[in-house]
Amino acid sequence: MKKFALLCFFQLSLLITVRAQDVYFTKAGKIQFVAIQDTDVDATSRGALVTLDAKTGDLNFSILVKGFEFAKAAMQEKFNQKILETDKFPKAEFKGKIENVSKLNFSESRTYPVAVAGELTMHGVTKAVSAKGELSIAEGALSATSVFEVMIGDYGISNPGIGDGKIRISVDCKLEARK
Amino acid sequence: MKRGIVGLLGIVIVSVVIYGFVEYTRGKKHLKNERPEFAFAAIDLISLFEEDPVSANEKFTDRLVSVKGTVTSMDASESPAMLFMKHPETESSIKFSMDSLYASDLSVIKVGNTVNIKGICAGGEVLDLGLGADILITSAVLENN
Repeated sequence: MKKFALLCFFQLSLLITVRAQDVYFTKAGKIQFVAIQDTDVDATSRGALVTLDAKTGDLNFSILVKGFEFAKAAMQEKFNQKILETDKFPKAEFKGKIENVSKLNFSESRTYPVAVAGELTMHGVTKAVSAKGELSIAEGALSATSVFEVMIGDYGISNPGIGDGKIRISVDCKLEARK
Repeated sequence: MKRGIVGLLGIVIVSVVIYGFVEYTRGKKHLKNERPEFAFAAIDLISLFEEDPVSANEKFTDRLVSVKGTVTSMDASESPAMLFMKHPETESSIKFSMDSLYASDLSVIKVGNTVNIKGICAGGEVLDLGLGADILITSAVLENN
């Protein structure tokens, strides 16, 4: 009975270790938020949490919106107070999946084109988005990049005079295996 | 009388234009000489967010906070440079998005150094997957270490 319990414990430990190694993450993902027709709206944060489950293809990122930094203080205040209302909606997040994850070999160093689809929540509104990107695998670490565009009006934000309201969101991050 | 009103109107218009220009081009605030409202050891600030993230966010978000701790990793390969203080036993960490105006200050900092950094708390959260608490400080600058 004692041997059986010990065996179960070892098998469970092995399972947890394998599962942990399937998860890659970073707390310093870079996200850029640019209004296509207004060069003043150009903000970057390097504080995004990004996680990728290599087994299921689940790809999530979340960001504290107040972490976006602008060159101009007035623009940053407008962004926080009038555009994304960050006191009310402090976080933006994407929950999605790499659609072609079964074709990726995470033990081989190479770069793959990937297709990602999921839901982006911003300003308290959730919408479906899809994007193409690249995933590079090298010695157990991953680099991921993707760019997609959204209309700010789709997220319950009345256009506060930033061109046509089209926003380009770029994600660029290096992920390490969760130990 | 009419000339006086036109002159006054001119002054008002010029003042509004100047104010608008100054406001539009105003750069972000640099915190080097600002006095922190709160000062913590890194491990204590992490504990506050781990124990009650809602109340910690209410208390510290948008406030100038000074943190003392050991640098566990840093990345100055692009702007803004990022610096981390990780909890010694868990995955919880504080990340500092450094003010690029003072990027040269970072040249004297190495992983393992104990430093004081102050910056604006952008908030924090407790993450899934056992990744611990994650606290973000922006516009961060080194204090006199």
